[in-house]
Amino acid sequence: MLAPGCGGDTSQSSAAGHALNVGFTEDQYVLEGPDAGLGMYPLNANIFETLTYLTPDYKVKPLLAERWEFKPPNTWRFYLRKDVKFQNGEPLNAQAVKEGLFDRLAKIEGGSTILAGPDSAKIVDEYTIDFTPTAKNLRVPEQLVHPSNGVVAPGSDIGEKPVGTGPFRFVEYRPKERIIVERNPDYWGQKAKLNRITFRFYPDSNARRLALEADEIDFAYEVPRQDVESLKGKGLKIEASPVGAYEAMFANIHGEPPHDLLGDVRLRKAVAYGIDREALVKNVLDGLATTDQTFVPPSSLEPYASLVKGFSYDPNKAKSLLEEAGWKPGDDGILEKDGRRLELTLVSGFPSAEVHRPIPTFIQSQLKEIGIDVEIVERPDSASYQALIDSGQGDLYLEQGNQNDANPGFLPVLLFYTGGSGASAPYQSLFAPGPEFDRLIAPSLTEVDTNKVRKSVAEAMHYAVDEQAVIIPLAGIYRIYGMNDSVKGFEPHSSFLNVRWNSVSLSG
Amino acid sequence: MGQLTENAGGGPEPVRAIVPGRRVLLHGLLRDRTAMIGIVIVSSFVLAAALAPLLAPHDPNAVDVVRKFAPPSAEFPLGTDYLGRDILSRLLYGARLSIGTAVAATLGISLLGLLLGMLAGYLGGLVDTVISRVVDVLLAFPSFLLALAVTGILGPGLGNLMLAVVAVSWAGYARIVRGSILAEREKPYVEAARATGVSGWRILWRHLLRNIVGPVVVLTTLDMGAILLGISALSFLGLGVKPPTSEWGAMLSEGRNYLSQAPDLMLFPGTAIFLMALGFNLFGDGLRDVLDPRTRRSMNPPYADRPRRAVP
Amino acid sequence: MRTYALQRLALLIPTLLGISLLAFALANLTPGDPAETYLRRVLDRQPTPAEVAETREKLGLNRPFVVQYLDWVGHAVRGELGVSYSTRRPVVEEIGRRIPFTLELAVPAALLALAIAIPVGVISAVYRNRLPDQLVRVCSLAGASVPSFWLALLLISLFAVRFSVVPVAGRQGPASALLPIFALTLTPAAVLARFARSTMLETLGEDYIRTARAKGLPGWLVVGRHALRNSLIPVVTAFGTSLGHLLVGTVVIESIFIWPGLGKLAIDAILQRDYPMIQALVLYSGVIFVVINLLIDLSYTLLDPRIRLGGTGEGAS
Repeated sequence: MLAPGCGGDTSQSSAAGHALNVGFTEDQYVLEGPDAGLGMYPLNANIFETLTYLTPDYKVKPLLAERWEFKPPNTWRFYLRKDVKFQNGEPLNAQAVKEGLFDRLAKIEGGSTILAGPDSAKIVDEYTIDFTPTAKNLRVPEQLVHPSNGVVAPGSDIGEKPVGTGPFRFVEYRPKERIIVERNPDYWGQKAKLNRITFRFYPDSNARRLALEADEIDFAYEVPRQDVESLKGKGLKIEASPVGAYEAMFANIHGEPPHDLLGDVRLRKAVAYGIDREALVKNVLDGLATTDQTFVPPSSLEPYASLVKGFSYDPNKAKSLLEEAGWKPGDDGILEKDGRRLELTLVSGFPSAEVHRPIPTFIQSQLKEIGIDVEIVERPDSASYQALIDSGQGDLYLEQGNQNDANPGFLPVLLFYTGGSGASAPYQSLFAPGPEFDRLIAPSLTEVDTNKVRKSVAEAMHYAVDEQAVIIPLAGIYRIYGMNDSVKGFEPHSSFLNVRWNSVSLSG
Repeated sequence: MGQLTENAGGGPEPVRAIVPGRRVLLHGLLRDRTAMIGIVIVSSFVLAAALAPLLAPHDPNAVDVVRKFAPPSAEFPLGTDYLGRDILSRLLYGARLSIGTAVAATLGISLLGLLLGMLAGYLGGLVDTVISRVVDVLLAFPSFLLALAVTGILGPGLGNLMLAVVAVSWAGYARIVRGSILAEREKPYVEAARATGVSGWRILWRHLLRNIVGPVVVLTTLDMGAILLGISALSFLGLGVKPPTSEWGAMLSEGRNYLSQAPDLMLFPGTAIFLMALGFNLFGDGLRDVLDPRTRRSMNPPYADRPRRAVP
Repeated sequence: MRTYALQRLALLIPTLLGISLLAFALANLTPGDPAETYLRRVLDRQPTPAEVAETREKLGLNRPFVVQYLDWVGHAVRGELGVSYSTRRPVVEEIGRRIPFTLELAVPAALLALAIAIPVGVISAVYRNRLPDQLVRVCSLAGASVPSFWLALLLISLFAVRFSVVPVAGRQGPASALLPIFALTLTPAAVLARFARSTMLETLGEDYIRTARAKGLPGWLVVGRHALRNSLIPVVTAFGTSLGHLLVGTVVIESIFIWPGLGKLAIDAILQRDYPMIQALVLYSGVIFVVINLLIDLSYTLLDPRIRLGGTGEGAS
């Protein structure tokens, strides 16, 4: 009954030459509907490719598109590579890109980040295609790097048997358990060195780490920070990427009672002042993070990253702000006003509660020092967390998110901009900083000059973080990948959606 | 009843207990070594829990991240955890929750079972049928899974957890009590009492109750250990308290994340649960031995008390 | 014997009905609108009120409770228990797939527990109040007090982390089952041992045993042939209950060892609010338990000729 190899093909791997076992987090593949993306997102199994791709320092480089140009007022012309075939043998051409990318995205509500409409794509010639978003969108090439914008082979069923152009092709998928891909020998670019990759899902980071230690997997996507030292001690290696993610709290400023306290900006600033980020990074995260409070990766805002100042640790200032707002100490040290205690609900978190532990407890004790009683509500997965966003029954929402494309305004627009697509509306209804923010960030969607884009995003972040304290960043997070010594050639990417596997090999 | 433990075998064991006079009881208990050890353990834990504010050297929630994973020292007798909180203080305060919920839940279970069993046994008829059917269905489930499902559905939280545990575990008691009442009901003294015009409830109260209290008390004590383990297990799975509360099961769950670098975090709460359950079990065992006429060498007909379990 | 069996089967029906009702009602106790919850899982976003109303109609949630229940039962007996919110695949498929994995732990653990408990219990009874007995009583009491999840963590800490003898977690190869099985065996072994001891003691006190002894039959013969058989019967019953518990999946152990059995399925379903799965698991566990107990009862009558009649004294209602 106990046949070995349920999940770990280690015995076959050395024989067949180079099969890698990789541990990923939660399986969140959507299999049906316009959002379907088996093999695409959040685990990019390298089956599909996009027109452009993201370098680890957030630059955009050509991939399936050799080059592109912007044709005013609002059209992008992409010149495709001529030597690409899908894994089913069909050639990649403008028709395929129209069907497998632009028309597919047009079916998603709002047309996805690139704002694709049913008539947006026009074939110019066999390898040239024009794309006109439904609204002015100057960030299309930056946005196309996102793996959910992969080019799907026309006629293939993405929920059943995904077919793309990537260096690996689909073998098998078991929901919540694993997805297996194998080398694509006809790949147009640098062919994969590995024969096979088995991606296994471990929503529990502890389990993932244990699997790595026990050699069940050779590589783990994210290793809990507290385990880094012990893993190194066991001969495993850790590779860190540049900063590309954030650990931050969002304040519910449009809440209904009893979650209406954070409508007062002084309260929000008090919270921001009341957290010792140095201690958080150094002691709770074991020094494996930065104290950047830009929310968006600082490298994507250069040279304007310094516009976002952030908050220092100043509990006295916090207390005086609270006093100014009319809160007085009660009997148990918790502040009160008009008979109401200062109680905030901290919802942890995105993508799951266990990613953040023990940060909520740390924050709870910090805020207690300034007289705020924090109740922690944990949610084990993104679906149940989303439910609390939808219902608005929280004050502070703790999230860890990644910048996954080259558009610095991507996350702020997605989550906080009210003029954007309706897809994230629940976020906007809780956190939208308002018209001033919208005004500041709008240019990031319409400016051609990338410098101006960075400036506009930096100014918007300054507004949201420094002036309004709607976004309360806690730390800048970089990705930590754990692997055993035999894994070579891995390029750590700050966005784990954009990890490429064709250069990876196993030694020995 | 003992079913709440995962993998508990056999359900409640056969129990005969006649409550002797107080003197005899005390004497018997003092003489029985196991019972004494059990009482000592239980009472020291209970005392420690009650006096937690006095005994705890620190605030159990005082975070001091710089000093995380500190080894045992004068300042932190059992060391600190992953946020620099004093483990001993957390254990002491956690004792209040763990022991308190176990005792409260067990009492709730036995009282509810007693009440419903009495109603079924004495009133008979439709009431009996309905209650007995419900008992059958409840006993048809492994109670841990059912408690798990109910807690999951009600939502995590110690209150919901206790509610779920009580709701699924009372059936065993009810069945035993009902059985006892049915047996007692036929006895001559009940007839006699009724004949002399003593009211029904009076009979129930005074006569029947005294004969039932014995087994119920023993079972309750025996069960506390199992209920403690069950509640800790549910809490361990994340369905109990929320951070930063230091209930033992939750502490054990947190300790799991630091297994390789700080096994202490897992050792101490687990030992606490183990000792407390042991104390309850020793005491219950000893109590049963003292009260059980069998140990005084009387003969009883075989199979009169087959183990209770679901009868389809 | 035949009538007894039929009687038992007849009593089965109301219990099964009750179980199914409980399983069905349980999922409907959930907070929130079931149609909305269902849609939100399927669509991965908040549904509009129009969509919710439409789904309510489609799922038949506007019908009276009894009608919904009967409809559900109708599907259930045909093995159609809905689709999991998490995996979007039929619930019965997932359950069926995982039963063997749970059996891999439950059966060895149950057998091992029995193999330990019986000899230990017998020895304890035979050497009553002497050293072996004291030892057994202490050990089994301690064993029944150990939280199985703590034992699991201790074992992992020692044998998997410190000494790397077995894998830390996950189902991979026979070695990986050792720790979970040990963790599962302790409590039932302890409880069954105590039980075996007490029934053995009871039997040993019987008249016919004393007679046999008086007749000069050697001790071991008495114990082996006469006492053992009769005292085993209640132990078999207790064992059946243990097995029933184990078959349903041991949630905590499977969760710790990331063992892909029913127990892990249950806790995952509960944490993810996969209501169709929770419903199905509750139903399954009730039915299994009832079936096992029925089999035990019937085997009981085979083993003990005294209990072949309809009336069974205590316990029947």
